[in-house]
Amino acid sequence: MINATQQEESQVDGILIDQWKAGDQRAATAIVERHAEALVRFAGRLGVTEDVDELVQDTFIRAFSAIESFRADSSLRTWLFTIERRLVIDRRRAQARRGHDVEIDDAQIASGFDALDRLVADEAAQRVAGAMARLTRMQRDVFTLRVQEGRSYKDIAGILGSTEGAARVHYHNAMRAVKEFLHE
Amino acid sequence: MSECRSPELQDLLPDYAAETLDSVSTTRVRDHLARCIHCADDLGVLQAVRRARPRVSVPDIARIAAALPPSPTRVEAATPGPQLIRDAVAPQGLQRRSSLPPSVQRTRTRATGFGLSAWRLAAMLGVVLAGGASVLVARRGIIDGSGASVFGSPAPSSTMTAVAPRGACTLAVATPASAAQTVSVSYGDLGDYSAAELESMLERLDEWDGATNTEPLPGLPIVPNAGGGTP
Repeated sequence: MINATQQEESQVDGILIDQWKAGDQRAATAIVERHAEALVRFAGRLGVTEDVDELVQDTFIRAFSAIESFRADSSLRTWLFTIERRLVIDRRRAQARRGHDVEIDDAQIASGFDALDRLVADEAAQRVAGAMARLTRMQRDVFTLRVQEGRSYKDIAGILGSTEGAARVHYHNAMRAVKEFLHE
Repeated sequence: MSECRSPELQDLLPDYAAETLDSVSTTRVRDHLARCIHCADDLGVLQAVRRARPRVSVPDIARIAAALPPSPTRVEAATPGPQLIRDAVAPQGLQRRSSLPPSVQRTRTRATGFGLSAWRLAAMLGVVLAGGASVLVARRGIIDGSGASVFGSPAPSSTMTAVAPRGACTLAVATPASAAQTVSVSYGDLGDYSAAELESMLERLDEWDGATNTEPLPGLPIVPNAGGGTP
């Protein structure tokens, strides 16, 4: 797949990272500007409804603290998604240990997605959101990453800790389910 | 509904919907969409899903940026180590020397200073010669039992006389009568000596295996009789 936009974005991110390493703190601000909104959106898809800003901030802090380990095998945004998802998992495990919460299942994810639905304005979009809510958790994560965030199957596999082939299968199953719901 | 026969192009549909493909791939997908009803239907769904992308409030960029760690370069500039400072400001020659242990550096500095200071040379020479003579005398015995004085005696020149006396200062020590000798050590103005003589003195100093025993023994009479004040 030749995704020209992602290649250009990766180049720009690479330049900004180098500038930040050279001491230009404004480059860090530029990187935050480029990816913060996507991270907020991804947090919503992961079912995070509280302290989203804090989660995004922690994601950037962890990323910049370990920027030397970023090898640019994937795009910076994919790497940030991976970090954010791990933070969410860690947060849920900590909550589970404290007895405040249990493992988030698909129903809870759906309710989290429903919360985001309130932000969606038009009726067609709400229908799509309803269709997405019926997907399994993995299908929804793969589908949204592929369609709404433009990630490749390889990147999705890295973010979700899966394989490229499995991500492809989840995508096609999700597409079939969404089409069926929308055509009812 | 039949499946698409071009899965490769079908895989590109999300990127086509996002308008992120290059021109060649965009043309290929567009041509395929004109022939494939299945993919055209998929594209409609994908575009609807993209439009349904949840709108989120943008977080406080400035607050996040302020919380980020400083860049590695800034950290290094803020807390430089001693080695970095030396490397940054020292000339080439000093950089090489800075890699040596401090003790070695100090030794080299002393050697250079010694060569430049005539007064230091004079002081060291005087102390070493006087001390060395006192050691020699102490080994032979200072005064015989009769207490006979041998000051000013025309004794044969001692092998320990470092330089020809020029009347600057004479250290005369009484020895037993049976082996009366005068150990005469003189020092005076360095300008009185030729370069060859000074070099000879330094060579003798280098060969002298008594550097740690140069302190005069208590009670040793040292009689300066002319010139040659302590530096």
